[in-house]
Amino acid sequence: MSQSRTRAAMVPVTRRVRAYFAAVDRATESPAIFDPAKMGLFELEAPPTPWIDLGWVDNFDRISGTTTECMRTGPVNGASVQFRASLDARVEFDFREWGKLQMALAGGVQHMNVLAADPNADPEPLGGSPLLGVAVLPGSTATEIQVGAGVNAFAIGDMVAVDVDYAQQTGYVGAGIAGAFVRSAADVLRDPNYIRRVTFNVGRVAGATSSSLLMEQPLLGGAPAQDALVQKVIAFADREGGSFFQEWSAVFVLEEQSGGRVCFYYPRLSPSTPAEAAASGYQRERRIEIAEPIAAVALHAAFVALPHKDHNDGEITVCYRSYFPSSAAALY
Amino acid sequence: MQFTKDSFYLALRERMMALNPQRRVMVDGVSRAAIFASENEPVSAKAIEEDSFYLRWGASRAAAKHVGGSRRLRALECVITYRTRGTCESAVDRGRAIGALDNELLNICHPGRSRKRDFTQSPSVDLGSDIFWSEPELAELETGDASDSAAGCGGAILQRSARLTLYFFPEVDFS
Repeated sequence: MSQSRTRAAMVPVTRRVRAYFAAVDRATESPAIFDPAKMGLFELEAPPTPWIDLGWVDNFDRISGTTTECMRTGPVNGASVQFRASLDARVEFDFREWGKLQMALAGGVQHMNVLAADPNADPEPLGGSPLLGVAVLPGSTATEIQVGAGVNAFAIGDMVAVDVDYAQQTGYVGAGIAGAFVRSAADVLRDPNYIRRVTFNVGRVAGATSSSLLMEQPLLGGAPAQDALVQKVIAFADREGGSFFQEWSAVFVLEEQSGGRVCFYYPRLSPSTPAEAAASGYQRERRIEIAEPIAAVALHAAFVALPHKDHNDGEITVCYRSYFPSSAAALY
Repeated sequence: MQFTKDSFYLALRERMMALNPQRRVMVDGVSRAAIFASENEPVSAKAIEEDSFYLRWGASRAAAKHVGGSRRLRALECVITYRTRGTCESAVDRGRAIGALDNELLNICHPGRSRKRDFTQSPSVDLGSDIFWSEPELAELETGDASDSAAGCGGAILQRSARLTLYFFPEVDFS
């Protein structure tokens, strides 16, 4: 037996998994890149741009469905060449914290902002005709929205959606992050509020000046366009069904307890059906008991990893695993 | 944690005053709602006022399975004690009186949640989350004066302790 000061540091120890997501540019199918050389050891509370901290996730499972097959030759049919027959990777977990992004990723379809409705509007499952928006004025940023006298239409604590009017365009819509794909203007009834119904450019009013709204967190889609409007949001909603699929890049970090950090990077994740759901379905939300009958509710999320071409060598891949050894840890 | 204790105490006090405005006692010549946080009472205070609720805080721990994330759930034990000798000299209605106190306690503990506020400021400030708690568990009745129990009347004073657990997100960011 010999003494070693470094062996234990080769064991990654973690307490929890943190999830970071960034939008894929849907028009070009370009993922957000996680560069371990530049970003790997980032402060977990302050992820580098464009990564968004989605908090603690539980029951984190990485499932590889990649299969290998052999070409067999010779008189005894021995394996002579091995190759990968299919490339498949999935990831599943429970979001323990709820928010707009967590719901959108767990739901997988368009994620709707329920806009404050006109009292005389007909009832609709996602909210009827909304109250008129307030015009955004020049000089607005992601954290301060200039609205002039329109500031009186909002109260501290209100949730708001900030985006442009729908102008009969087709394709992906939403400031900064694609919130939906419009195939034809008729599908969305040419509703000028449609983009604000699906936009990720939302925030909560933390304060106000005489002419501007101060946001609790920066708007996800960045500074609003000059012709954007602000509308009050009452709730978030999603649906079972729909043709749109969310697509995001993701990084999962095993929060290091013994020095070594492990990161999993998925360039393109698309919501999918959990592996367990093949025959009998699955639970969208999971109860985590506090003291019966009190329970917390977690959002179950499942994704399939879409392929990405690695520019270093042209290989097609679906996910990456990186390990940052503890300082002074043995390397093998 | 102080905000949790204050919010719970004041929620119960407000509910009790709405439910039974007559549930008041005179303390040092001042009429007060008959619910007290023991740790806030002067050390010279009478041991325990009858027909009053006394809140005493116990241990606090992390709620199992809820220790991740930036806002971790914590549990805080609370014991609520009350006693009565009834309303007449013979104390023959003390059973009914303790039953009324049981009933009031169950009423004011429902619903089992309240907004967490910072009462160190005026007006108080909303802290953005709720506290919530388990159903009170009523322990067996105790007799306040054991000497009487031998007489077969079960004691002239009846006392009960109820135990519940509060859950709250502390004002600590664990990120």
